[in-house]
Amino acid sequence: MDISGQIVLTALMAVFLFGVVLFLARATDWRTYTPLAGAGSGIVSREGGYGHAEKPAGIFRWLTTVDHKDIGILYGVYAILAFAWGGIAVIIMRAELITPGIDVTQALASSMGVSNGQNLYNGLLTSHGITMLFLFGTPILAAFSNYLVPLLIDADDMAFPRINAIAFWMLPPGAVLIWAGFFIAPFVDSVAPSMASWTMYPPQSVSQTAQGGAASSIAQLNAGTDLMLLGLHLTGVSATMGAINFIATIFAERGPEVGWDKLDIFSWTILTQSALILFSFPLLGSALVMLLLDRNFATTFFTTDGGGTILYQHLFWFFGHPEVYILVLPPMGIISYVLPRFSGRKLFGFKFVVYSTLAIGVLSFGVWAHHMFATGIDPRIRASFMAVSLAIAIPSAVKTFNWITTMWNGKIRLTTPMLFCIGFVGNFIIGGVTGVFLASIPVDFLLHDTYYVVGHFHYVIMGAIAFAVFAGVYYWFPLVTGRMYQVTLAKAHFWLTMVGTNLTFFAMILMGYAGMPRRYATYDLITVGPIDLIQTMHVLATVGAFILLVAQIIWLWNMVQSYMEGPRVGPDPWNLEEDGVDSREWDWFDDRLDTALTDGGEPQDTEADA
Amino acid sequence: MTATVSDRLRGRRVVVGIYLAVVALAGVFGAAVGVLLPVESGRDIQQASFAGIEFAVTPLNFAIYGIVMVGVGLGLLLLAVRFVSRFDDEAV
Repeated sequence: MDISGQIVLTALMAVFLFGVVLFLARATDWRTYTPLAGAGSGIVSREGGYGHAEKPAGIFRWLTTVDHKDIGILYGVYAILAFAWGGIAVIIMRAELITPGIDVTQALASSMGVSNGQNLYNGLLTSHGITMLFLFGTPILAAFSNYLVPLLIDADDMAFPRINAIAFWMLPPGAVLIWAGFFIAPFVDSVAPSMASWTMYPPQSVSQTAQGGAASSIAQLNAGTDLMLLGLHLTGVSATMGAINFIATIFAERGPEVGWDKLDIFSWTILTQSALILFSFPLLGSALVMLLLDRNFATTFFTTDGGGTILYQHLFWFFGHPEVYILVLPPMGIISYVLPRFSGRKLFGFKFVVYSTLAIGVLSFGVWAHHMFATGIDPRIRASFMAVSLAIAIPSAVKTFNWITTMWNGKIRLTTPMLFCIGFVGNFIIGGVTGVFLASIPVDFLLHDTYYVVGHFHYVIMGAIAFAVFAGVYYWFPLVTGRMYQVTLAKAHFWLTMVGTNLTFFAMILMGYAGMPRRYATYDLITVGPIDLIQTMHVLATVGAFILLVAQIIWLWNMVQSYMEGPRVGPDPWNLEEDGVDSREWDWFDDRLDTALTDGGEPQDTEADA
Repeated sequence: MTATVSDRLRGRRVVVGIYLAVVALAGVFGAAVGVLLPVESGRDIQQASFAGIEFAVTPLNFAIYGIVMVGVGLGLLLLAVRFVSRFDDEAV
């Protein structure tokens, strides 16, 4: 097609998109979520604080909102979209690994504008890791904290509502940039999805071309990686702005009755997480900028012996290991919050759970070099990092101990959120114990860069973090939507997720014992173990991944359908008052329903997850 | 439709139930490792020893190993939980 044809097409597309925007803006029956009863009006401020008197109708309400609850929902929807992207990427990868040779990705590669199957696999691998950590993990936790923290601490809104909105709106362009390689590759030969893997180690990340080989000249560098670095930088800035906002909110906006002694466990974990973000994300930003300069402006931060590749690894993991706790502390907060409610009692040893949260926060900055045991760094440095890495298991164990003791002396209701809490504890023990072994230098030498590592951290990320997210989603679903989800589908979701997680990731741990290296699209040339056995493990892991896929489709269906048509709930859908474990956010929900009734809202029929 | 107290399970029964399930699972996982280790090329691991006790690497032996290790490890944790729970003022 000639240039003028393309210009005409572009103009037509612009007119079309403008028309779509106009249509959406005029569609008055756009499904509008109303945080407080009364169409178009939001929460009314108390004591002259911040309020949301008028909200525009239609999609502009979502584009312009500064209400923490709306922003929480935006974070949630965004994170679920990213979860789908990362999930589809890994499903393609797992399908590839059913056979030792290259086939599935090879078949897809040319249609996606990538030179060969291995390069596509590497691109998917990079995208899966970065998407799940930065575009799903961090935002889904921000969804919970934005919606709940102001309610839990009796604040009118976040300390800086507009900064809150800006922080969210940096994420969609961030995601588009991070995924840009996939969008551009079919049209431009010199661009491919970044294959730098989520750690972006130089020298590879500095010199990689779109074809995946070493650079023959700077001009051929894969712009997909540059776009990804820029997008990642944007998400880092977003997370930092959010963290500052949470710290300010929890310090300055607590209601008169919420002293530090009354602060709930979830807000404690968010406060600690925000502090970790504040101290670690700037490091990532700096390292990314230096990487971009090395790639585009011929600087030599990571390309010479002076600083070199090890310097990058130090900078990256000084961010990267706290990032692990940035992702896991709020889920631990959700478990510490939800698990006691269905044990019919208060959390055992609340104070020690808070102390262990703070201890993990501090220690998390002293363990980063355990990712670098095999790089040849000074053995004395290695030994000290081994000691701290083993020590950080203690506060984690304290939490596990308190959760088990809470259940031991409780009366348990096996609702779906509780099932996910119990699943969390079980998977977290496996993930944690496999991690303790890795912290030991000699064991790490044996298992470094094998599937054992992949199995270990997925037990924590999928088996624990995602389980806590699901526990939270089910527990607060009635709070956000005013409706109850479908219990049978939810239980099916839990059991399929539990079986899928353990099948997939235990097979990976066994593969690691057999010496199967991670990050490879093929294993027909490996020399570590019998290929048929390795293949059996890969097939089991892939079956597990497909079970997980089915489970998540069930979950999504349940969430969407229940949001549209689920039975409406009463003020206390979990019967928390019966056990005396009611909490502030449900009191707020009660107020909201009362307002709806006086306003002529729909009659309530209750249903609980029994 | 609301959950009443009669639907509830004693916490310790649930915890002990999970303990037994985990120990049984450790047996399955142990057996899997027992299958895997001897056939792994390059290392040729046929014998294992723990605390001076030598045993052949077979699925059965490793299943027993897994059950004993996880059973004792988590069992000690449970005993500690049982002990500490006496000082739990919030017990229901």
